[in-house]
Amino acid sequence: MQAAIVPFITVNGIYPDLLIIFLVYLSLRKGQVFGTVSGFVIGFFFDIFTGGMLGAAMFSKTLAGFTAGYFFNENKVQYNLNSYLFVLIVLFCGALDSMFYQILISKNIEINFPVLFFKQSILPAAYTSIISLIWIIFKPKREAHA
Amino acid sequence: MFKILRRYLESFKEYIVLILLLLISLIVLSFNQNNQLKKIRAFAFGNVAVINSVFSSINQLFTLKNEIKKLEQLNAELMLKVNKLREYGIENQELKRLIGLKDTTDYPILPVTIVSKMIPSLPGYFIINAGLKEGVEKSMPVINDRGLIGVVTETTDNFAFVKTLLSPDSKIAVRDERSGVNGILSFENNMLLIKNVPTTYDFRIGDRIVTSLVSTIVPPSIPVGLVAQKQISITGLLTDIEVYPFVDFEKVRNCAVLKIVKSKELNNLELNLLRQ
Repeated sequence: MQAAIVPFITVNGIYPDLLIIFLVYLSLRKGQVFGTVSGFVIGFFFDIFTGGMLGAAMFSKTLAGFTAGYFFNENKVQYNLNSYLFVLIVLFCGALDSMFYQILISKNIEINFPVLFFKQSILPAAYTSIISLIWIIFKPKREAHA
Repeated sequence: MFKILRRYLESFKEYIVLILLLLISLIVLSFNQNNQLKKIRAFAFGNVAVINSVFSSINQLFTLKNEIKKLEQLNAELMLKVNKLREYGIENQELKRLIGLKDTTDYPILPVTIVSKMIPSLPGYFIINAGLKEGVEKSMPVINDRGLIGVVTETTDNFAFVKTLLSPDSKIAVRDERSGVNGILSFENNMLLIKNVPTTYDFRIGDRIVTSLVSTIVPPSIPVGLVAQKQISITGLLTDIEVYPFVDFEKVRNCAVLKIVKSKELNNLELNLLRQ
């Protein structure tokens, strides 16, 4: 889905990462270890199915899953998943994931950090968090309070 | 002892799992040039390309109306241009006959469609809907009516990867059409640059940049872009030339593969010379 649908909602080369939303959701629901392993598995399949550099998404998504797992709280699972905190966690983890991913796939030794940080990390992460915000707002009420 | 170790493992299991998985990822990263791994990736990419082409064709259903209108207009304009070119062609042939030159510009062209422009792991790469079955090979240049798009880097039976000018690892030998000065065009910091050109070299803003005669990948004189800006370094000895591409990489959908592998042709030529 990430590889097939996302190209059509790309704006100026900036695309949302739907997998990060799913990964943050898993981490907040099941915990840090589960999130870390899920990140690794999701990253592996992402690398395989996009024909890119194998290992890059595995690394960045493992890290993102681990980071999202920090916000896991057994007593606040529903709150974390249904509040705007979820959007903020997606933003943070998305930026982290994009930044490490870009560093790993970049073949250019001279990395321009402002470009890397802003255009390739913050902007895609912001776009991803907007998508997650839409999900939070329009989520069916019954599911939201389950 | 075992209990203490177990307690430690229990309390640091998150970090142990993280470090272990990150290490595996880094080890896998270092095996990327492995041929077996390349084969698996090529197979997977072929499958994704099929999915992409399905979604692309669905998307085309919605954009087709506008596309038809534009194409009709373009068709009319091209018809007028073709008439003119036909006249020029006849004139050109006569002139060439006069000076005894052989026409070298007839390259076999294969029209193709881009099925995916966004391969997150490979920024600046496109997937086109033609592959080995259509005779597309590695190193074949891809162009459209405006100029050079990129070069084929990987092929499967039905699809091919195209490394565009906007790929961070793209390097193309180019030439200033007016002054004939050569340089290497690369994509850095989101712009096309001819880097480290001595300030004495004659590049002017607005000059047309075309592929160079010294390029071993693409044929010469394919339009690339216009000189947009000159950035002189602090020392004042070297200049970075910013080039604005002719091709609109955001909008391009249909393009063509030039079915030649220049280096192969040159190699054959060199071999023939050696045999003589």
